[in-house]
Amino acid sequence: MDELLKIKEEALLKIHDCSSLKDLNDLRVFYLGKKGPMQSAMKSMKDMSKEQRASFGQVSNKVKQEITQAIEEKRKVLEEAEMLKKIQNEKIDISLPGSQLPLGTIHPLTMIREELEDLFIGMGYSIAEGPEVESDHFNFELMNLPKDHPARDMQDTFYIDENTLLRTHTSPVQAHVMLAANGRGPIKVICPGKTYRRDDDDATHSHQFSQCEGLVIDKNITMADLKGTLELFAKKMFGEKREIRLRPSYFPFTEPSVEVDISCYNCNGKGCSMCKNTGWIEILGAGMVNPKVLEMCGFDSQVYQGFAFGIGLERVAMLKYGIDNIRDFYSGDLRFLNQFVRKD
Amino acid sequence: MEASLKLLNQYVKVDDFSAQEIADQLTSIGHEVEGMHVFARGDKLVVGYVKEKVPHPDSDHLNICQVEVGNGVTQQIVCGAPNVAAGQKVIVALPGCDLGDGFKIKEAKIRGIESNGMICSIAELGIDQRLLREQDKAGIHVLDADAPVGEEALKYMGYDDTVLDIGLTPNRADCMAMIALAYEVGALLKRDVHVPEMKTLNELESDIEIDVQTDLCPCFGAKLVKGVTTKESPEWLRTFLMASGIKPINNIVDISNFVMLETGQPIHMYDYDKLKEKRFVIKTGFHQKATLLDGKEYEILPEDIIVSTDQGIGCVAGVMGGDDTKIDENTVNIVIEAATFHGATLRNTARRLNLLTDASQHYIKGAIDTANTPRVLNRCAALLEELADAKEIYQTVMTDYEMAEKVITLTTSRVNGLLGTTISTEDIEDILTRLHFTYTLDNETFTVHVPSYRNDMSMDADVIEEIARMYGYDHIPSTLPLMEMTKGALTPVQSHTKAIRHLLTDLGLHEVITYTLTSPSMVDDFNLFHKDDHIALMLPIGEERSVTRKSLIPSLLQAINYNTAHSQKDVMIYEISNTYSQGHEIQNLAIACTGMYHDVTWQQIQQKADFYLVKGFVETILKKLGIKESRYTLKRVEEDNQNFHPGRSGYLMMGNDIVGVIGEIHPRLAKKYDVKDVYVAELNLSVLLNLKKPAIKFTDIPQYPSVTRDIALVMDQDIPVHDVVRSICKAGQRFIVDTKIFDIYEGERIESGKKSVAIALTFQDASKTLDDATINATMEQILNVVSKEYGAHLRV
Repeated sequence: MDELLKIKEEALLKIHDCSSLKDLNDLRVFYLGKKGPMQSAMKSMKDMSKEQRASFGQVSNKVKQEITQAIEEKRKVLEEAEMLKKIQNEKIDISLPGSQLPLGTIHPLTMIREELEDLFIGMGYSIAEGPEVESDHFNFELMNLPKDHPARDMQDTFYIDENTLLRTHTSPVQAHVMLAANGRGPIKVICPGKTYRRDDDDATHSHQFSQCEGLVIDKNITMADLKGTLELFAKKMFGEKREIRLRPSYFPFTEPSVEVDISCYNCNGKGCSMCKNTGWIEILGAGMVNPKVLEMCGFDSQVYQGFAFGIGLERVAMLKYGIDNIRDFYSGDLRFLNQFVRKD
Repeated sequence: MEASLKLLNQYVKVDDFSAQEIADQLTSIGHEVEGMHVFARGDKLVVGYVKEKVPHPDSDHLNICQVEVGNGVTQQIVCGAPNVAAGQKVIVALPGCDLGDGFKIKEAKIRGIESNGMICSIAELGIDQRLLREQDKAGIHVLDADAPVGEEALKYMGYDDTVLDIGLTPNRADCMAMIALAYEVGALLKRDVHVPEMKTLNELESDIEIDVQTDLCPCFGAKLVKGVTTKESPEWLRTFLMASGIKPINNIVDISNFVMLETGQPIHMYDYDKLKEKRFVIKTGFHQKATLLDGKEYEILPEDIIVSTDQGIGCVAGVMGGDDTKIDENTVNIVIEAATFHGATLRNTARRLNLLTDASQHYIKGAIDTANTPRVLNRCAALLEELADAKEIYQTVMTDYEMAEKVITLTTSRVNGLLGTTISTEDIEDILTRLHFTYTLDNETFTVHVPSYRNDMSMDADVIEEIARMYGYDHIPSTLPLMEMTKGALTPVQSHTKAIRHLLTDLGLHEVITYTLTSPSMVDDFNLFHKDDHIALMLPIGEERSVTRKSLIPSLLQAINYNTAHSQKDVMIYEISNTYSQGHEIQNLAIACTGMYHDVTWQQIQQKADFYLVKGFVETILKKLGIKESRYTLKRVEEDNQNFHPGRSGYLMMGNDIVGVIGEIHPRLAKKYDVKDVYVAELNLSVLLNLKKPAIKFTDIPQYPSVTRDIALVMDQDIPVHDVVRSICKAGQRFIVDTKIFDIYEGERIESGKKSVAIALTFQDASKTLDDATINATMEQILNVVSKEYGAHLRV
């Protein structure tokens, strides 16, 4: 019995002094294995009386239990220490840059276009597109710009032949949509796309640019509806605080026609250099679809009426992002594009 | 147009408003004031009296003047003008006066003599120099003897005017006439408009004959006035003209310009005594050279409208008069012409001759109030009588002209139905009255008679716009359309285009938008999808942008060239755009990559743009579009392909159709576009986005484990690995669910001309756990097939 207690004391001491998991394992094998001192001590059991044997057995089980428990406790301590040491060794410089995963950009004009599409799709508009190589008939005649109209001067239009041209605005898509509707409303579309004018390129002019046309036709569409719709557009594109102002203007394809200003987002209408101290920034043209256009495009102007508007995407992008050279849009310059990497 | 507020005030009282207020008012009714400037500038300018003048002791041209400047103050001013004299009333700029451009008058010493101000010439008042006479620039301006000393000089002279720069909309050219503009202001401010009397004077019978032989001249009126004296116009007239941007010449010319300014009707004057026949024939069909009144020779073509006199060119209608019959300082008897000519015809003539004169603009833009022609001639005659001492006025001779009065019907409910307003019938009545529209009212139906100067009115919407303008757009409520529900959505093609755009952007490419118009020297490069001729512009700005592109690759190469020239070496870009050829529109997508796609140098992670990168982009797009690999093949381009590197490029084929291309650009074109190592792809989206695709259908996730076996096959170098993999999949039947090529080896450790391809094959059976026997049998089957089809064997 004493021997067992001696073994236990010795084992507990060695376990206590053990400093590695490997040594600890060796101790476990030694003390609890088949060839260890415990087993040797057990050999003396065969000479004992039944009572002695029972008591010896009890003590020996208890000793084994204690040694096992001590080893387990020690193992936890050593494993913890080992992990801490490993953590120490695994330290890296977290200030080094992360993997520069390739991150592309959507062109700012497309960003504006998609924003408009999202806004208007949410209001039940569909998106119509039309050809950029367009007939004179659609680009001008159906938009109430008859042959002698000054706005369709050779000088301003890229003609391909007498009857074909590069569209000068997205308005002809209105005519395509109306004719396809066969004189039956409602129509609710926006028509984004590229347009062309015979302008020399400079900071504010581009022979290629993009517009987004809007067209709503039904039996009771009013100018007030146009105003409400454009108000939503202004708030979405330029912030909730924006207001709009309509000014009378003239477009051959709308009557009445209006220019639409938004309250300056830079100074909130107080007047600054951006709005030339007027508090307002001109943003788009709009109006009620000219009855002549309705008739030419197969709608009974006594029954149907509607509104149309035309937004210059470059203008919106330039105002919104503070871009001052329109040529930047078309250069493919990564230093320009990379500024639109984030979601607006 | 430039509008003088003082002149406007002659017709409608506006001088109780500030210029800004008037500008805002005009802008609010559609006449956008784009800018404004003072006619003459200088704040501390007063009328002075030169009491005494003595020569400067230290100069041969300076004089020392004692000038009374009001309130009993006398200032000593050194003056260098040659015409300064004692006893003159002059314009004095007092110390502190700012004459603009940094020129500020200070108390100073000039060659030792104190000088407290400056005596001014007209040219020093900031007036456009182009409008001034020589004498205005040569010396100081001498005012009338009764000018009150001390009074503000600009006010005294009528120079205290502000000029508004108004951007008239094309439909309101009538407002080029100050009277029409006054009607607008009057309507808005609810004020009376004072139109000068234009009644017939005591008149004699005229011997002028008119013969109009073309319908391009709907109205022609001529009035003979005899006994005029040419001289300088009175100050008030000269000042109004200058403020309106017109240079005064002499009373006769000034009157014709003033009448146009006032009424919008261009006036031409012929010297009656230079006419052999007193007869005007208006016709087309002349084809000759003619000297016009500017002394230059012009070529007249048959389409030009000509007012012929004595069978010659009396006047190129509405553009410029002939030299033979022009008035000059000796002219005594004048025939005044006021006519209406066809604007578009006149525009072509004026543009061709490069004579877009002020008068021609009135015709081109449609400012003419034809019905007013007789009254305009009367106004002209009256002014000639008043300002040019005309002795005899003759009856107007005019073509028969009957102006059909425009009548438009509308109802109150139609007005409100279009505008979304609740304007009352009474308010509409008020607005129509203010606009000088006469009407009759039956219940709520208006029958509106449009004034003759409103050429823009033709239908009820036009009148409704008038009502809206005066009612005020600010008063229109904001509502949203109440209508049948419509579905808002992108079309499938639009939605897939958008998906591709966002996919490529998320993969790290930049979307670019470049020009549709390109040069003929590039238009055929890389073109695969267009079979027909390119589209050329009739009148391009330059050759560089004269035809529409067929392929987007040249534009992308130009963008790459631009970026590399600006130290941007890694360029991964794409563009989606329509391309055009005769009769065809195709939606293209092009990708171009050069440099490093993914680069974490310090971690030795680098992925350079190469063929496989671009191929990967294309395969990912096709995967995104749901186009299975089995539907397309990649076929190597022709050996002699001129656009793409023959060894490193392939066509994306669907059946026998080329729907795209992936490859390196041909070294020759790399040189042409000055780019290096560029890999491109171009896809025909018009085909790819319109393919029929099966709907997404879910299959159960396999429950039994998969087994992976690696094999290394040795085969001839030029065998396409893709074909081998295809055969393996075929041979492995339904058990092979995945293959992954993980190594390609060519080199000294195997036979020359051979390569070793290591492939990991994954086997799986959806219905049970695969046993070794099945896998082994399948492997054997695979090895047999690749051996038979490609002579490939296991690497040992």
